[in-house]
Amino acid sequence: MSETSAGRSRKAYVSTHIFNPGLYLRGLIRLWVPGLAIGIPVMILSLVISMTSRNNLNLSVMLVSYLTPLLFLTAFSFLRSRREADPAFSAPVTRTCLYVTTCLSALTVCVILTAAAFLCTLPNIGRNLYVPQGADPAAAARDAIADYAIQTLFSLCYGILLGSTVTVAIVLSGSIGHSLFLTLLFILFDTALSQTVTAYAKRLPMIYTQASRSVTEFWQNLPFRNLFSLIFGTSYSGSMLGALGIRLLLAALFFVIGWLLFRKRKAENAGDPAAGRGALHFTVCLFIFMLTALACGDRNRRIWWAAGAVALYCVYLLLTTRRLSSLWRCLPYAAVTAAATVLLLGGTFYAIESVIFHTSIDAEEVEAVYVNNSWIPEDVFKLRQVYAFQNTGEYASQIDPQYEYLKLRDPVLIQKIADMINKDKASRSPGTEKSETGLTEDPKLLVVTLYTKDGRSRRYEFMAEKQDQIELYDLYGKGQYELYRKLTSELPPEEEYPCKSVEIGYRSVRDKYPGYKEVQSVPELEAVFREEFETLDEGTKQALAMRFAEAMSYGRILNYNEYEVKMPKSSKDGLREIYIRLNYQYQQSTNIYVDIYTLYFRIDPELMPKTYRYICASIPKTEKFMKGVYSCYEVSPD
Amino acid sequence: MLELKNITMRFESYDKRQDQTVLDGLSLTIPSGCIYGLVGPNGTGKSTLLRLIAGVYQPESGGITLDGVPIWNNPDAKRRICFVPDDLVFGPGADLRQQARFARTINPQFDKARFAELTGLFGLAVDKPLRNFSKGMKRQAAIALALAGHPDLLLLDETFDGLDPVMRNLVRKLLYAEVLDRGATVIAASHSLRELENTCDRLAILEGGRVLYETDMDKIQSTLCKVQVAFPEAKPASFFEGLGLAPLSFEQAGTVTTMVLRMDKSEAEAALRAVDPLLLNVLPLDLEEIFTFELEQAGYAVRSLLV
Repeated sequence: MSETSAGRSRKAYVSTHIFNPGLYLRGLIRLWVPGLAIGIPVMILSLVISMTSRNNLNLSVMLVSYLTPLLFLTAFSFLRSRREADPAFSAPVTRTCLYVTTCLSALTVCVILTAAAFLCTLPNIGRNLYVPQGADPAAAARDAIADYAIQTLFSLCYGILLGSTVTVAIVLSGSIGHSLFLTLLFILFDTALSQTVTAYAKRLPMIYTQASRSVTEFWQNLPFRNLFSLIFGTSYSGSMLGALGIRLLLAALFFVIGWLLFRKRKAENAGDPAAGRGALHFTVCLFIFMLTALACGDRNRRIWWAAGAVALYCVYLLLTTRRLSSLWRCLPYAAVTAAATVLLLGGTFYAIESVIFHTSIDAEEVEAVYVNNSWIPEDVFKLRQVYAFQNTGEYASQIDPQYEYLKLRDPVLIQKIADMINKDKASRSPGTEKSETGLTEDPKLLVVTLYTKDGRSRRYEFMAEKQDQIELYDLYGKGQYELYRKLTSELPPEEEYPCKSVEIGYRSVRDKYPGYKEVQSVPELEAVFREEFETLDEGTKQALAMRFAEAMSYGRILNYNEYEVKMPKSSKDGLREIYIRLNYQYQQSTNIYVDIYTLYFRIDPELMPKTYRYICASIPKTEKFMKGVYSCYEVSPD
Repeated sequence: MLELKNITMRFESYDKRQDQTVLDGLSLTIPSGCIYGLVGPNGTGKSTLLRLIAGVYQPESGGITLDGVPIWNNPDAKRRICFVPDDLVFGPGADLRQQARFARTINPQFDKARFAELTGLFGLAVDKPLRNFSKGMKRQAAIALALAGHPDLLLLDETFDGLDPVMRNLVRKLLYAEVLDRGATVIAASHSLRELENTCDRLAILEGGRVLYETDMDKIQSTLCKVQVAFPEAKPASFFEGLGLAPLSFEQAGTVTTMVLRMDKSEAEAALRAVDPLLLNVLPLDLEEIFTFELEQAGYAVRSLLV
């Protein structure tokens, strides 16, 4: 009897202090309209996508996660309406209980919508499934469903993370406009900081690590930056369970912050733009910090965007608070934030510039150079397929995209570049404005990378007179041409392979996950493939030919864990799937190529045994060949 | 017993200088088992006070307790309170039955039978969407939902707003029954004194964020009386003062004199009968007149407060 009574009292405690079923039900009822508004189009979209394409299956579940903020905005509508605040806050529950229950009702609808989108896709998932010849369709369908389930889970976690971020914004706001504005600030916070560093880095002679990691990449690899990037999730590998856990932990953190703020949230602020003076000042400070940071990063163009954004925000404040005084009351906070940001970021940037711009180049230190002139002749630039074929009249500054990082060890060239950099530096002071684009229109801009003997590398952007450039290209182009000749001398004559490049994508039987590796084949492969391909009937040819989109999708799926796949040691390891890609190129001159078109074919071991065997045998061979190229010419494969 | 001690409530503005102090050190004690009226012009803090008592707002300073238990963020105390705001809001697309179901999940002591009885009394359809109800019907629905929850403290903002005279009487009776049968306390706020006349046991007038005047209704009605008296010839005020009657107001139309006196009506009647008047009537004194006289005596120009 007493146990029952204790159980009852525990239940009563939970229903008033932690989670209230009545309020939860009420929350669900409130959410049924937005739930249907999101759910119906999403389910239709799921059906349409699953019936027409095997690509973008997760589009509908992603859409649900992107629309999660709407659910939270609706669930917390009592924070924006005084009418709704009365029944919500007078309910016999604690603030914690109200917050938890409201969040759970929004999350429930989010889960239901995601599950509905997932289930709508499921019946048709096998319809457009690519099943390799001889493979088990059921197993392929199971794999596809498993993949899709994982994607759905990640989308759901992303939605939860987004919802938690929005919750913090909602609690700090009293109107829908301010909620959305603050949400946008939270979401763009990471992007703005990233833009700041990137924009700043572009103005500098960039510091490279041994390979090609720039300041920007370094920034992107910062641990806290990755935490923020989870909000958008674009740069984070979604394949790891760790990422899932981090997303959920981060969401939990945001929910806790929202809860702490909610406990102090004044019900009377419903309907006001910001939930009190503090919240308004916080928004202003965040906004000004982001804009000032952007301006510190790039004083050239973004400062005008910043000025425009401030003006826009002033108008917004005037419209929402309807008080002119709100503008100048915010001014001290804005000024202090801007000053602090300028001191912190501007000071740091100035210090970096001072160090870098006053470091002189010692030609003795430099072992090799790489030059990338960003002046692209108009006629070539129009052909979008080109990678970076730059013609200075006589020489191509780049032979092939494969050899992008071609380093030269010509002492005359090194001395020439060192002189040019020092000459340019003498005429500049730290902070000199330069164009930030890689493909600049300024023909004076040169980009060089110097590789030192102890393994460091440093990239420089500097201005050079045309005559100097011509001389430089002359030197560099000659060096490149020599290397090119040396390289091509190891390959059969050009006329034997009109197809200039053959790549193989494959995954081995041993690999747990589908993998992908592109290898530059020896050119005979195309001949072998062509010969065997011509023996097939038209229907089989059609079946083996892959559409571009299909091949891209195939490649992308295989590419999922590109770096985890190991090269099979020999053909006995077996290859599960192979596709071949033939790049047909137009040869403008001896050393300038333009991709014309590309063909993709699946290699069926039964239909094309000769090609299959050739590929199996050539994989170690091509790898060896490429390694030989890399070691010989110091071209980094990465 | 509900106790409010030194309550200050300020509405924050983005400009600190424009902060609005709605209640300023307000103290009030409301005994259990009575109908307590809060009167005051618009913007004097009646609704804010009710929201503070309901636990919607948190006072900037001071404390509110119900039988010694703090209300703010306390579910045990809030469960005993029901707040019917001026601006009613129901669930989206909900009908009365759904609202009752929801009320039952929030409040375990919600009485389904009582609810059925009340909706029958008001003649409300429980299966029709509330959004189709008229303003008065919505008010009736809210009162029915509130009373069915058997609250110990019922807070009514603009109680009779939108109700026709018949429904007003019915609501009054229901409130009396709540107080008499269950010992519940009702706090009713209104900008109009007339609305609360014949309803309240005690009444307070709010002005400038403070309680301007508070009194017991029985007491105030027994201390003042209005008499109409006529003699063959007009008598001056000094004549009546000589009789021991000190008129609070004195009006003469020919030989007929109308006076408001601070005394029991039987005593006044006896004193006037002694001088053999041609006519003697004891007239009813409405609440507005009582408050006008009382507050004017206290030195307030209150005509503007009492609409």
